[in-house]
Amino acid sequence: MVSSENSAQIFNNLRSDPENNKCIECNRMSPTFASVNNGCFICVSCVQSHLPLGAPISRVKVLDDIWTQEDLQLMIAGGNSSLKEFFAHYNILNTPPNFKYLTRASFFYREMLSVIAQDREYDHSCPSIEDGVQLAGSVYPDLPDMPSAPLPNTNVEESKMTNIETGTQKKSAWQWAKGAYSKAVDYGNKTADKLSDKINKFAEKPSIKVVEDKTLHYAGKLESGLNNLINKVSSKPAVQSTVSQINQAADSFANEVRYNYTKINSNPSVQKLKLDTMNMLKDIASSFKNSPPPPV
Amino acid sequence: MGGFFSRIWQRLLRRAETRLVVLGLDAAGKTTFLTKLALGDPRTVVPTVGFNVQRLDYKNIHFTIWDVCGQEKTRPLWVLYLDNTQAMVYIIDSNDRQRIDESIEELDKIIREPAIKGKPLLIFCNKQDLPNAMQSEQISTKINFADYKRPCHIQPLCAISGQGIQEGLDWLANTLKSSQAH
Repeated sequence: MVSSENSAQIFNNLRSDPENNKCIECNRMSPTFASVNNGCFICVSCVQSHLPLGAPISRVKVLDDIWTQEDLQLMIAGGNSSLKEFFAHYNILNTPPNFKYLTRASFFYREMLSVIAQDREYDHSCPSIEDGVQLAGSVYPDLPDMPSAPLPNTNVEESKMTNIETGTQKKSAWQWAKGAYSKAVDYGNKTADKLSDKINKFAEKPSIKVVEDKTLHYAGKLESGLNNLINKVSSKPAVQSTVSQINQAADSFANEVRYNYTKINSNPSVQKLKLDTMNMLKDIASSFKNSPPPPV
Repeated sequence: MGGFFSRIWQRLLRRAETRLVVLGLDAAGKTTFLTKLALGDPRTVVPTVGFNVQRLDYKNIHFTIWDVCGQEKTRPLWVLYLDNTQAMVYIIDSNDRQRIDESIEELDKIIREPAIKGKPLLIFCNKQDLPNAMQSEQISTKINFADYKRPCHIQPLCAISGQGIQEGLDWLANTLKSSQAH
């Protein structure tokens, strides 16, 4: 449970996005209601179109009420701008609420929002535009099926509330989505199997084998030629002389470094310095040993 | 003489004054139920702030029906509406499967109030027309009627079409009449 002051503060923060300070349906300022599972803000007059849809489609709540943490997470994860963007992608932004909240796309959006609000990753891809604007017929079998994507200007008044009568086939959107997902995965596996079969058959063809052998033969020839070339170059007298010269130079440099090091070490001043530091260190160590133990 | 006859007339036509309280979670359909009863057109309903009152004559009983706001913030105020009530109507949104348990918890809380001890309880399972709605038989298994110690009735309802209102109110009127007779 979150106290009303805390939730009010969260809503104030959410209003920093100006879209959240408007009703999602009619753009009227300072909405006082929210559709929790859609994660959007709505005004008093548009609540009338949301309430008859039922709680699973749009759960309306007053912003002044006591909010649970889960509901607040949904509102933070959602927001008017993201829902508007989503509906605009499917070209159903200006359709009436009793159509657009019953489409497959909006069922997908609610499912995705509830998963994202729990800080989990949603691993299903969104339905295609043609599929998304279909009404979720398995949930509302009595609704007329839309054959193609309706443009915003088309009259979708046919899908009025009277059409949402008793459903005979009661199947949740999630079950439907699961079925569709498993079907898609099956289809993908089958096509992958077919492709691998085809590739194997192709590789067994005699003409392909001849080509393979030829390429291997040429590759071997090329390799031996390169090796011969390297041997020839390294056996040339000029190359050998430069290599020996480089070796000699490196040897002389190393000898010089060694000689300088012994010269510095043998210098009497350096040796004196060494002795002095050793004595000083010994003195310090003995003084530590002789000093009384520190007070506890 | 005139006063005598008018008194007899009043006695013959005396109607019981009955106060009803309609409770339930927010968006359960309490105001829709009331507007359907009183006005017949429940389409234009806005979430209630405060309460609505309607008077209604049904089967010679004079009902005064109080419909109280069901938001979580105002649920502690339900107790204040229970004084002098003859019966309680509780509305459950059977389409909202997530909150049915919460709804029944609230009913368990409010039913223990001494102001409505032994008073009849009518439970409406609203929104039966919507798909995915829970059947009233399923909901009744969740409610522990034995603990309530009062006449109870559970009734499926579609407040928008008015289907089920008649049966519920019939039961309520009959129970109230029989309780007054005793």
